[in-house]
Amino acid sequence: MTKPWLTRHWLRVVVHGVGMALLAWLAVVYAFGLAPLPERYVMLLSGTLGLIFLTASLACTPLRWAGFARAGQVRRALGLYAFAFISIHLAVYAVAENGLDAALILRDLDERRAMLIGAAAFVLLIPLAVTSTAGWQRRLGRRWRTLHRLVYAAAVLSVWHYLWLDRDILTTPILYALIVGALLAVRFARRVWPARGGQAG
Amino acid sequence: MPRTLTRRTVLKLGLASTALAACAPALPATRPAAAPAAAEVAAPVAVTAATEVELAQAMAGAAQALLAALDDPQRAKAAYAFDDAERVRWHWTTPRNFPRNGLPLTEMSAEQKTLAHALLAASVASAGYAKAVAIMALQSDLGNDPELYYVTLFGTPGEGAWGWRWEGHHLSRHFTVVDGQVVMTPFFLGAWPTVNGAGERAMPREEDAALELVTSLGAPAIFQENTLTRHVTQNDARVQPLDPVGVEFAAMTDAQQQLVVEIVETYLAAMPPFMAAAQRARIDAAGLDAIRFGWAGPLELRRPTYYRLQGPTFLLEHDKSRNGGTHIHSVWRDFERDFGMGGA
Repeated sequence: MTKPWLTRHWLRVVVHGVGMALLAWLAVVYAFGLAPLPERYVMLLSGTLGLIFLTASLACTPLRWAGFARAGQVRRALGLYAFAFISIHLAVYAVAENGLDAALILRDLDERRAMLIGAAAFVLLIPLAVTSTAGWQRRLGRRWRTLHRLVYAAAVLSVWHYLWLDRDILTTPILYALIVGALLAVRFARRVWPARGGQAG
Repeated sequence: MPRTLTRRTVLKLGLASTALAACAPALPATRPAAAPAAAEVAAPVAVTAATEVELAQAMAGAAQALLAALDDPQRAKAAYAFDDAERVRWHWTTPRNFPRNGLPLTEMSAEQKTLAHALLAASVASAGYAKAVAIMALQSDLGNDPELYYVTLFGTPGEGAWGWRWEGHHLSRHFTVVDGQVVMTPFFLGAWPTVNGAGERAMPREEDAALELVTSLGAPAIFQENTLTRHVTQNDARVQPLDPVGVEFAAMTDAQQQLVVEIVETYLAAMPPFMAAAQRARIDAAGLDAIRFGWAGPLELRRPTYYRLQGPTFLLEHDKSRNGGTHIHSVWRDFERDFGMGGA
């Protein structure tokens, strides 16, 4: 007998619920000025959420290997929410804070190394977001999987961006570096030592 | 809990725990933790010096007390010769971007920190000390250590020419005693964010008075439609007057002139009152009418802007071009006396 829809898809519901709620929260804070500096609050929180959702999307495959099959259901959604939050992060920086003033943005890219790294991470995420649909997956075939390995580089660059921001206290960025590093290490280990009866990768 | 703990189960639990731990930092903190630096340090004694001689003596006494409390390795870090090039090597950015020399508060004991703060308070009086503490407290909002400020001494306090410096992110104070006279320029005051999580502002009138002034003056005061991308004099050891921009003091109304005076006095409040009064007298003697105020950028508080106030003896640059106008870099320069060089 088929399980009820919610039983089969509860994780999707949770991910979308949380993702949408967080997007709504950002919109409310910005629109109603709920923080002393709403742009700053939205920019910082969206960046953090982008990194969290990106990390979570990276965790889906290892979770699936560990027997949590449902994790595969939400990988695309987590990745797209990550892209959404990072897009908001970048948009607030470029438009709200700097008014698309090229001189100011170029100055930041020159003075703050972390900005260049963050921009590179975003650029890598664009083709992943565009080709995230099942249609693109069919069109690209095996090349889709190769393309989507860019997420590993994007995750590394995102953590690098966080580490290189002008902060003295690096506890949280280092924590993310360790988590992303562990998730990539699990993948590497699986390729080098494939699971018994399974294939590498 | 599974009846048998398999490798697969351990991996699941580990990944789940990691995912939960990763979410913890994302919980939106509406109010950052209060900065511990000033709260942990005993409130310094209020400055009572009323003359430069008294001030120089008070500074020397406080500096000597601090030096005496340091051990040899600390003293080796903190003390330089007066003519060392380090004295004019300064910056406002974080130590990660500009490695600093001197002894940071983070390497001092509680007693030594108290003495360091007492030296700062003895040098700048209550208003200047409060401003410094407010600026340092903002570091917590940025994920920085509010105690990563460096104390450096140059020469022997109380003997001949000597000086000292308090410097870290967004705060650079320089004190020079030459021939019994005290020089407190250049000084750099910055603030990011301009409004902290509690809604408090570290430099309110420095922003607001200038915005009121340019709003009143209108287009003649705006020398550039877009803001400058950084303040012009950066961390130069000596500066020359910049190109005159904006509106002359003589061409302003009484109300506009009062705003100019308010901006000047707001910045000079970083010094002890009698020192500020002496600076003000010097500015007056050089001619208020020659002071010019110029603005670059839109006429909005939370947009990237820049303004400059320049007279025959001084230059104030206020750069708010970063982070959507929520990040101030401001510097006060004295063309004749910075770092005690030239006639003091």
